Amino acid sequence: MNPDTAPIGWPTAVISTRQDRPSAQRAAGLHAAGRDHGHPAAFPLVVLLSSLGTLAVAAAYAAGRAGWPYLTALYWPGQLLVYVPIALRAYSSRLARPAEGFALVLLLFVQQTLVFRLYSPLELKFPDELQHWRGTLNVVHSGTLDQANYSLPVAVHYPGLEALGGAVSASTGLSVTATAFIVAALLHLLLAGGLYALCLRISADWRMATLACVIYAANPHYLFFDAMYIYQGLALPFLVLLLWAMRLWRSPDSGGPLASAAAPGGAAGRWIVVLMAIGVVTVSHHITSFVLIAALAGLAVAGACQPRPDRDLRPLVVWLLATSAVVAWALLVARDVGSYLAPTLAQLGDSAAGLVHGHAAATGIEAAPLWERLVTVGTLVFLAVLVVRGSRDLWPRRRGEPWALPLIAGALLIFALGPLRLIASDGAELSGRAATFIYIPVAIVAAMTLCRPPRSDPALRRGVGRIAAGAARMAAAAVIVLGGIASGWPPAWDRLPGPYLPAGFERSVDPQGIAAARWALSAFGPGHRWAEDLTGQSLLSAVGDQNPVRGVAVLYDGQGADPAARYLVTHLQIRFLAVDLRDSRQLPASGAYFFADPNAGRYRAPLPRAHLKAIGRVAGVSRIYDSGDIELYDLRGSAYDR
Amino acid sequence: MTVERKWSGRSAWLAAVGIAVPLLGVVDAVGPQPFAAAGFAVNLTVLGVAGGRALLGQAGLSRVERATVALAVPIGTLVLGTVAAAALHFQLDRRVWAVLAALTAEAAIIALLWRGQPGGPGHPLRWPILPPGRHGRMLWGGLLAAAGVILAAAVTLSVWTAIRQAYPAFSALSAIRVGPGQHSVQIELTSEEPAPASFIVTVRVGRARPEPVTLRLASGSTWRKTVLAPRSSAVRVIAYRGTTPRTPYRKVYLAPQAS
Repeated sequence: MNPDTAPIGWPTAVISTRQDRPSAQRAAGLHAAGRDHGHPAAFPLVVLLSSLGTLAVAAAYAAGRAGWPYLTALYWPGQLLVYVPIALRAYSSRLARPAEGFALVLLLFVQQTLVFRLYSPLELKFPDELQHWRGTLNVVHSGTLDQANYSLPVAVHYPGLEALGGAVSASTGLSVTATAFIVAALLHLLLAGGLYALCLRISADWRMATLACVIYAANPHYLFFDAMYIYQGLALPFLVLLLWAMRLWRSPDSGGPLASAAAPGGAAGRWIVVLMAIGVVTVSHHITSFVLIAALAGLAVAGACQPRPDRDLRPLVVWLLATSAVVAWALLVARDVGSYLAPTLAQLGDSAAGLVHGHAAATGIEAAPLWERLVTVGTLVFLAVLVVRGSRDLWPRRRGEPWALPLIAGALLIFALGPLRLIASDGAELSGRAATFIYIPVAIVAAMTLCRPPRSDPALRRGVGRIAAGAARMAAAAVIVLGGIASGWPPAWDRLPGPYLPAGFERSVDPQGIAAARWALSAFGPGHRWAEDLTGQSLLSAVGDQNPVRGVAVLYDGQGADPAARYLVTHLQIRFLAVDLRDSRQLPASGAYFFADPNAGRYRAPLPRAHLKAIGRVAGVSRIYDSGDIELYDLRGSAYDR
Repeated sequence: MTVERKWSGRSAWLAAVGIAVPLLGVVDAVGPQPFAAAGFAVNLTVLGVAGGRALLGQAGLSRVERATVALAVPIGTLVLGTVAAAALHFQLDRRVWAVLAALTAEAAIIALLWRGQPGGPGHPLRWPILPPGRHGRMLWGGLLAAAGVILAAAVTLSVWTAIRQAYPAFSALSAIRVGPGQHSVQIELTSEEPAPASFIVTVRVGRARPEPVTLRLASGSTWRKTVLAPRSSAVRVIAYRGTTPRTPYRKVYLAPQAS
């Protein structure tokens, strides 16, 4: 076997096919204490325990909805029960069959998908999902991909998910909501399968692939955000699939267990898979397509820098194709992607500049309880240690392998997550979103570290040492999953469903808000310019198909039609205005009542009710809708509009 | 000979599928539900399995990889095919997607027939995970059945509490100018109260005396009324809860507009 082209992994882990070796010989390598089959009931026992965890989380959700205070405490034990038994089994020396390894990955997918969907089992409530629900509904109703989606304008130029959802909904007769449930689950399944396949091709070790998938499943956004019906949910599995297809190129020469029976003459097919994946990523999601270019650039450089005759220019060709496709798409179709991403990039720049000058940005992590913050830091530290150890061992042994350097470089990006969390004013969300991509190499390198041959210390295999080792594994699994959930979505105040919260994202979606949005659509048709709070913006644009105006806090300051308000209304062509009187009863759960709220994070009291009511007293303003808490106003012809 | 016999049998089977695909496409395009959905699903499955094998073969790929490709190919085809169809200004509807699924599935079958790949040895990894012996399988079955019951309970609990989640009851009153010249006002009152409720609605156009209307609305029902009101006249609509007009429950008003 040429060491330069061998699959990345520990020498003992890539020794020919495991099935070719007797179990005793295998045990001497990776899992010294392993038996061939393990306990016969281990897998169903893990299924049972994990299912109990899902039930506990469901009970906590139910308690949140019904107001049973004591059962809400079941949430964290439930999450631990879902993840830890699967993680321990995946790491266990008794895990003896690849089928069980992948079954564990599938089990985790099923349980986590249930945990996510049971939050809101009957309707879509997450604002990001509502945006794509609207986009899909537009495709089904209009028969085109270019109808404006006011809730997420840039999504019209990345219509991959809407195309898929529209096809499924129109062809099956399912509602768009049911379609979203099914499509999101299938895409999440594709991600799990693709990730397992990629890890298998990289490591040539199904144990490592299993463990890498389990570690990846603890990334902050995997449980909720990445499982949603959103455009990233479509692009991400195809990014993984592309890397997997490229990895197939190296398999015939690798000599690993998967290389021995590599398909002859499949080069054209692999290129078609590569091109299909590039196409899907390009038309589906901007950030994922940029990450794709970055990842391919690393692989292209690494492949081109190989000494002859191992130099491989195919990654360079793929990078050129992907870059051409993404740039052409951004220049010709998605011309608004720059303006869409510019505020986030500017915010990052401002936050970094502020940090240089000694002003730390608000990050949102402060809102979480202390133990959650500690466990978040603990997760990052633990994974960073695994990555450093893995990289240190991997580099000297496998530096000739073209994928080694990009893999290590990607894994070391975990050190960027902490600072990103600290410097950006929306750092918690940004670092969570970055983790979706960074955790792929992190999980692979961390799994390699965990799968390295154990030290031959007999004391560790007996008595107290064995118990301590088991406890350490359990604690590590618990920290990884708790840290991931604590630093991901939803935030602490939103983790359980429950009564209405102002500016509380999914917790703000209630029948009254939905009724007002539907009424606006039925009364005026789509596309009218509205001023509204954060929740109103989400519902009026997604459910009501109205065109929201951002940065309208000045209209709610109780000053009536003062010059600033008149300027805003006339220059931004605001026709209608929505008031939610519940904003005067509670502080905003997310820290801001409005998008681009100048007082974000600084509210000490709810908005004064008099300020909200003052709008209706401006000359010429009509109150056209009143449902008790929500009042809708027509500003046309009023003092605002002059 | 074994491979040839297997291959000829597979060819006949593939040809049968190749004939069925367009028929299923027709059912998908014009048939009633759920047959259309079934045709769509079957054609996508054929596309995934045959397309994956035509592209990558099956030898050297693990079952996980084959299943992943079989799932990815129809998704990728639907996405890129729909984007291409939209770029060509096709009206995106059920027929377009039926044709797309049927054509690509047929192409995958033809590619597989043309490629003529005999069954490969498959990946050496073994997949069965069931334990040997009756006792072990009974234990497995029992534990998995218990897990299934627990998951069903979790879903039931969530759905049940989501259906019964209590939100504050509300009723919505609205008024907008409608019609040519907007000389009419459409008034709506929608009740989302937990039980049938009585309301009194008064409508005042300009300085005219308010006209009360007494009504009783079931939960989820809407009362509508259109009144004539010149644009230059203010309109005030007040809804009172109950049978006597005391405290206004909902109030809307339209400011007079310049003619």
